[in-house]
Amino acid sequence: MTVAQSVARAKPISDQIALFESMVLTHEKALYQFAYRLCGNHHEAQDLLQEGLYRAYKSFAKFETGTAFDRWLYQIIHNLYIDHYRKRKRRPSVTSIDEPIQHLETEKTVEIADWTLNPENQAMRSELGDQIQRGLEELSPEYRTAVILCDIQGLSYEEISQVLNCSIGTVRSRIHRGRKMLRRLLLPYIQEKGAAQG
Amino acid sequence: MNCLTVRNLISAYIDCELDPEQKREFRNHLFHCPECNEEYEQLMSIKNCLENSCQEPVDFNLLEALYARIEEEKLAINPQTDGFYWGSRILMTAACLTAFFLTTFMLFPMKQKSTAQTNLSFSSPGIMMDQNITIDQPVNVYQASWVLP
Ligand SMILES: [Zn+2]
Repeated sequence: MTVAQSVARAKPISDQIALFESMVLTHEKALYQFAYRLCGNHHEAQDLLQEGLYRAYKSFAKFETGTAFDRWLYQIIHNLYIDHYRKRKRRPSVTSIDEPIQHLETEKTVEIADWTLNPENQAMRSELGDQIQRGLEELSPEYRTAVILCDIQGLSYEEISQVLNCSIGTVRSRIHRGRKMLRRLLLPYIQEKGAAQG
Repeated sequence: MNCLTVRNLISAYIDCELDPEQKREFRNHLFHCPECNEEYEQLMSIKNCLENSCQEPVDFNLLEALYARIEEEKLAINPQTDGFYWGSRILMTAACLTAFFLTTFMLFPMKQKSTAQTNLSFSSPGIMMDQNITIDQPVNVYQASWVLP
């Protein structure tokens, strides 16, 4: 192989790496936010991101240019998380996530009573952030990802259905149920905050 | 549209995922139904709350983490690239050999001693092996293998 040939062959690889790096940097904040909201803590989020990026880097040849890089990575990160989550929890209920969940929605009422008593406005803001995270952690990973992708990352139902590899109808019902479950935890906070401000 | 249908569509309405006809009917219902309207307001406030949740500060370099991971993988696949690898290999081999010789020496302490015993046992050609055993000598199988041809 001549030098010219080897350069010609090497160039696309370095171009690919440069492209990958620039795409990561473009979506850096969104990716971190997604992993953090999914895991609930920085340490786990960073481990998840590192492994997710590594998998993406290795299979970047499969990435189709023109498709959304952030959604492709959301999918990799979500799948990694689900895999890890299932190994850790080994809950049989994961198979029936789209079944009616009335019992879950009624169970949550016990926890919310005490949180409305905090009158301090500043403390409430950070506590609301904590409460959002706590609420998200109450959701099963599939619901959590759907809600995060919709409300925090701003994706459409169709985009979410591609990430989660499910129908738009499933996305719609996961988001709707997820929000209703979050409401039980967050609404007292939101109302308290509204009352304190107005 | 009845209340049940409307309530199932609230999130989709909030996320602008209804077609124009559904949207029109939905708005019409909310205008006349305070219960559904309240439900809508509540879910809307949840979405707003999540949308406005403060961004966590990022003090984490994604590319650095990625390349650290790639290095980790390289070391796992090609450990000989590490200079310490062969050094530790040689040391380990030396340690194993030393241990082997030391154990051998301790298990078979002195050849002189066993030959002395042999001399003692066979000093008199009239004494037979079975007589030796009756003297109540402690029997070591390794020593025995040395003694016997
Ligand atoms: Zn109604």
